[in-house]
Amino acid sequence: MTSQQQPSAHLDIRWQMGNVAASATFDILPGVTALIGPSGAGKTTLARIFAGLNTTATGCISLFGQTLLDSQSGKFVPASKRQVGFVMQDPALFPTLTVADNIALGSAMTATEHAELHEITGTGHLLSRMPASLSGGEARRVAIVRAMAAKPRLLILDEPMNGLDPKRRREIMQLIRRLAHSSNTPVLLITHQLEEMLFAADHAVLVDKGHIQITGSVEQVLSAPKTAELLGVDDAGSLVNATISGREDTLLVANIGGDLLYIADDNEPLGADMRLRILARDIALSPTHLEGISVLNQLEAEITSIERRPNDALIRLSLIKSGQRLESRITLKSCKGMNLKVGSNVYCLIKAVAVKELISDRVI
Amino acid sequence: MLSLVEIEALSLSLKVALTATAVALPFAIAVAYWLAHSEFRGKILVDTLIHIPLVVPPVVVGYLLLITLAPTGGLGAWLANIGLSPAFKWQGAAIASGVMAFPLMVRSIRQAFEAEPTAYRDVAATLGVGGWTRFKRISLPLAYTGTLSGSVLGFARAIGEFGATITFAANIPGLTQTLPLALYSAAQAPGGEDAAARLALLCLIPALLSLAASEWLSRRAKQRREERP
Repeated sequence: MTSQQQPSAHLDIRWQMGNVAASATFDILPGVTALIGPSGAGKTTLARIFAGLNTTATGCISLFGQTLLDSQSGKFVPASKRQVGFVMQDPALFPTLTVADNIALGSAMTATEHAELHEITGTGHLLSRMPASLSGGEARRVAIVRAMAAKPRLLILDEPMNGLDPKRRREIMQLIRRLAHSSNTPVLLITHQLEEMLFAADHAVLVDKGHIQITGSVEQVLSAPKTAELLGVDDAGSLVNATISGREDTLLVANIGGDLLYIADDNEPLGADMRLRILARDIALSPTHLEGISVLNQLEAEITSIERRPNDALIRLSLIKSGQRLESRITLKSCKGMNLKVGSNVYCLIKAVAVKELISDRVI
Repeated sequence: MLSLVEIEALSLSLKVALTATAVALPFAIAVAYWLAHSEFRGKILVDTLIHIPLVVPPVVVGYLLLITLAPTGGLGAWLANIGLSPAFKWQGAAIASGVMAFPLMVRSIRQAFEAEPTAYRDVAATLGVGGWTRFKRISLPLAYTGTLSGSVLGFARAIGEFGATITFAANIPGLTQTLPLALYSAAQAPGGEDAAARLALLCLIPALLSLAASEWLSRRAKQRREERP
């Protein structure tokens, strides 16, 4: 799917990182792209080069067909003319201006658009406050709103969730997705946390020591061995896109392309699109449908591959109805005992409480 | 109590120093902002020229003003023609004090501009906010305390100005005789010891008050920078 999308931006740049000659070539696609890598990988420098704040790089950068940098012809569009929004780790709200003035300063929005933006971001009640009186989470949100109000053609968020508690992080991640999708502004999200990539991004670019390691969809980058090596992915698992199709007792029914999955109710409205993560260790396998057990989710799947590892076996599965891919981690003993074979059908047993709801795309 | 000459000297001193500070301030802010925020060829030269009054004897500054602005000089002749010759008038004393106070003001205000975090400049740039708007809405309000501190320091310097003033504006009681000049005359005159002591005290009070105010303001500015989220 991603390969058919027209890139919003293209980078082909080189710069110096201490003694290391760093380089990066990649496209930024519509939606949210995570630029992920360990600390010191060169993520922030790369983003500052893109925004025009770091002027030491050579190569070319284009955004929606417009050349921002072409060191061969000597073209360089300054930061103030790029229309690239940049929210730094430090929200850097201007301390002598109210929140409203901070937002209005570079705004290209009409009053109606402002009202809409405040509604989406829940910042309307902060307008008369001074930056010093805001909490960390509020300051981040205002910084994001301020950047969006300037109607950037692309928005860069540099570790916007650093130092926030889990609840605030989740709020910011939901906000990022909502903004990216409601405004059609491509977002480059810089992060060193896998969780943030999983929550918020559609595409990912893995960077380390000033070089791009992998680019692709979040699923592709997540499953790459290099990602595990750099970011310590401890658990294999699957990302599942689902729609809420019903509510039973205290559970939600999530529809994954025909397969129904019960998950814990998180006050999601019917029809909401969600992204779920199901870890391989949370899926047990059974040769038959079992009656009278506590596990509610029993989905029939075909085994597509079996990877025997020193301590366990990773079984890759494809759900019969939807074709959705899942992974299950079981012991070698079970694998042998059940006589699992590629091509045979099994039931995936998934506890409703084990399914982690990552993100909801509902638009308020 | 104070004699008429002393009262005249005090009010003249206040008028001269306030005028000098007020006129020099916009220039000092502009130069300080320019030096703090731009890199250009010849910056060191500009920096050096501005600081000359701090290091050369004030009488040299007065002399340079005299040959430039006296009615016999080129610019001075033109000013005299349109009736604005400043030499030997209180305006001349204000110019001399302003020139002497200028480098101190620039130094203090420039520090305030340089303390502005680069993150604010970067954010302003990505928001497309630059030039006059950035100066007026972001940089100047942030440098407010430093600017005030620089002005008070400049005022203190202007009120104590002696060498350049006496050279350029002369020592004419009621016209250009500011407090330091009156003190000089009193100290020269036989039996002027009491008057000299009173005048010295009058010189000290505004200077000490200004210095204390300037110090308090820069401490406050520093504190506010540290409190910033």
